[in-house]
Amino acid sequence: MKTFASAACVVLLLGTGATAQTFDDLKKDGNGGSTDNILTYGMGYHQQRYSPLKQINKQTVKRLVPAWNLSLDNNWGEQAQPIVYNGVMYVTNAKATVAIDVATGRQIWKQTLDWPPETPRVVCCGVSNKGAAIYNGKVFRTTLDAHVLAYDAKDGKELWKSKAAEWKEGFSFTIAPLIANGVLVTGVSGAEFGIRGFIDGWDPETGKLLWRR
Amino acid sequence: MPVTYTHQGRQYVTVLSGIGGLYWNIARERLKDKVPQGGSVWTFALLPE
Repeated sequence: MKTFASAACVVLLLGTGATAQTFDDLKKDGNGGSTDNILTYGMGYHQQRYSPLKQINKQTVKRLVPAWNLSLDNNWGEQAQPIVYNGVMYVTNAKATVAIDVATGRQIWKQTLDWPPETPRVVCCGVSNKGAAIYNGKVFRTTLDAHVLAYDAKDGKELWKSKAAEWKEGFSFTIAPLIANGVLVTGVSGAEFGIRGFIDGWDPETGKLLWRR
Repeated sequence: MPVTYTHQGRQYVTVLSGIGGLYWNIARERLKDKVPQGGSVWTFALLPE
């Protein structure tokens, strides 16, 4: 029975392994990895947004038509780059994070954010979000009111939320996070309001601040 | 920022649309009757020949 249990455990681990993004997967993004996935902001750590895909080209582009559209029910503007993994797209804006079935455009889950309504008055001009990061089954994002948080990629459950800085002092977060060597890296916005910038490293599992530079 | 990727062998292009941010603060009065507000995810693919 014990052997059976560990065998089942191995199967289970392999099963979840298929949905967990390793740092190696991330490094192959836009660099020989599967073109079914877009795992990093900038489409690869080179940040060149290069894709080797050729179906859509100068000759075929005249046949390019909308496949689907999904309303984000948001009036603050859209500036993010989507992340795609395993048939699911992750989109962010200042107010929400949405997981979408890439085949149909159907919304799988949506998590809205409730920053204090006076936040845009302090960090006035950049009510936006540039995108998410994905790693080890979690979707990470930053918030206008200077928090960093993690959702379960599968169901959108909030796993942790950490305060990075005080928005009332002009610190805001709009930049897409990046995973580097198992560390979640985020950068602050708001130098136009007089703050001094910094880069944070977070433990992706717990949301614990590891370092600040 | 747009992205392009494949799903079941077919290439897609996705881009988000929705006016907002700093530009909307500046241009609201001029554009409010011309540009509808509201964010969308737009995904495009090739119509089969």
